[in-house]
Amino acid sequence: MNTLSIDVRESATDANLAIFTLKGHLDAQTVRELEARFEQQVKAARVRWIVDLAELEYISSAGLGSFVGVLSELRSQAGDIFFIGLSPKMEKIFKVLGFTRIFKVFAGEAEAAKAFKGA
Amino acid sequence: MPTLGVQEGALGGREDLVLLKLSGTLDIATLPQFEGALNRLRAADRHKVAVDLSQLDYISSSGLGSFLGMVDHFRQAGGDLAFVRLAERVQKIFKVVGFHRLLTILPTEAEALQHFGSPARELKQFLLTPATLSPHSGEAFDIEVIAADPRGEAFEAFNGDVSLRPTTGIVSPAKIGPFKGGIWRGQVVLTGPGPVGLRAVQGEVAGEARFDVGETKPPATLPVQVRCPGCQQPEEIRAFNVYRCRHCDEIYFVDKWAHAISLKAGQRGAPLPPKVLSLTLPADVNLLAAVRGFITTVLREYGYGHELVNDLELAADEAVTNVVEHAYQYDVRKSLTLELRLEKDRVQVLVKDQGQPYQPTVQSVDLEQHIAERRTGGLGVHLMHAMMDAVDYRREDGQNVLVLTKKAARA
Repeated sequence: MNTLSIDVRESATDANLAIFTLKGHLDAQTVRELEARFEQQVKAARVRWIVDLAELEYISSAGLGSFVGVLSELRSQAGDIFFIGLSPKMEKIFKVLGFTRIFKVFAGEAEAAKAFKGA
Repeated sequence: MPTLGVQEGALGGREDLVLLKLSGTLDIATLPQFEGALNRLRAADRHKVAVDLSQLDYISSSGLGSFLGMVDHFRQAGGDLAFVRLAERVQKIFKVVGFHRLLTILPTEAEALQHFGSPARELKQFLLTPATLSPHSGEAFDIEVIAADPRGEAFEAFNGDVSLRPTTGIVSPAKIGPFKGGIWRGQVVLTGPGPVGLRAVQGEVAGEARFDVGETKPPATLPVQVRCPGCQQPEEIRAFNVYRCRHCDEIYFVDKWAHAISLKAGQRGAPLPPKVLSLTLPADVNLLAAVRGFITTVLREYGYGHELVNDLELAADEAVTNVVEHAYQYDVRKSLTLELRLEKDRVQVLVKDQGQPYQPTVQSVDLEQHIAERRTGGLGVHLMHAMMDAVDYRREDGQNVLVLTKKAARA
């Protein structure tokens, strides 16, 4: 019930691009697993991330903070985090925290990948 | 000059019944004395009075009139003014004027006692009978609480809520009820270790039991089999969390030691559930799911809408995460209490802990700065305030009490 499943997939067309698919609950407990996966990608110099939240049922500030914490590292290497699949519940939280001003949100993976290419 | 003696005592030794012994003369001159005595009794809410006339030598017509005038006051207040041990002469007068049909006239005190019936039952004390006097800290144990009359018998009519107050540490639940037949049976959790006095209190009425609370017991190994507290059906569980029974709809929480603790009688058509639900659990981020499960399961069960459930789920998570991180600094031996209050026009979640004081005041969040400093924390308080209508913090008896309030009509 309180589990987070993290799937990280490399893009077939862009070696620098990783797609995170998160399912379940992201809170102060499960964020530790996610941060470990972040580190792996940063070490592998894969710094363009698309994070799919469509199947994420729950996120708390601990989970949101992990994206804030890593962003500067990614951007310093010309990377970024783009979000896709925001439910109305997630959108509300993003807006409240001002995430929509900091992070780009796209309708789907294709649009987000295209934006990275144009960058 | 004729005089009247008025001697006041308890009828049959019962404090709720009055025996007035009149002696001498009751006439227009002495009447104020008698009526004064009756008025004092009425003012003291003592309306069950027997008047002993055996020593009364003379009664005038104004005395008789006074009996008639006063008796209604006593009867209207649920009592009576009864006359006992009438001298033969007085008895004759009573009959002549028809009093034997209007007033209660009894031969002896014993009959007066019978006339007034059994004593008014009243709640006098709570009697606590725990299954153990040395529970483990944080471990639920069975306890029976009797709302008792002065004789120690269950006071069946009692149906109020009773507060539980420990002399030290935390108790869960903090309120117990409803009482059935004057008795509540359930499970409570105390924190220790050390001696703890537990008081059951309602208004002026109280009762106490003393415990020697032991160290925290090691948790059970998952998966583990528990029994639904409602229907006793076995269920294998894989997390310490809130569950809804597949068989009887009971909602229960399974604590770290695999105790299944009823959160509400979930039977369909059951009487109105309690409005305050509380849960005490170890201060451990691994139990955040249980915190959210508790909030969401109960609120959904009570029919609150998605948005309110989501907002309170998030705010409670943030509050508990804060306590674990800041007040307790990740000391999982500590515990915290969640109290969910369902009120007419709002829902409140209270988070209580005994850690260091903290300040959950809202700071404006500068995300750019967070990013530059690679900070992962500091967003929770902001989120909590944004989701709630009010966030109030107070320090109370060495405890941090955080109150999250969301306006809502009770579903």
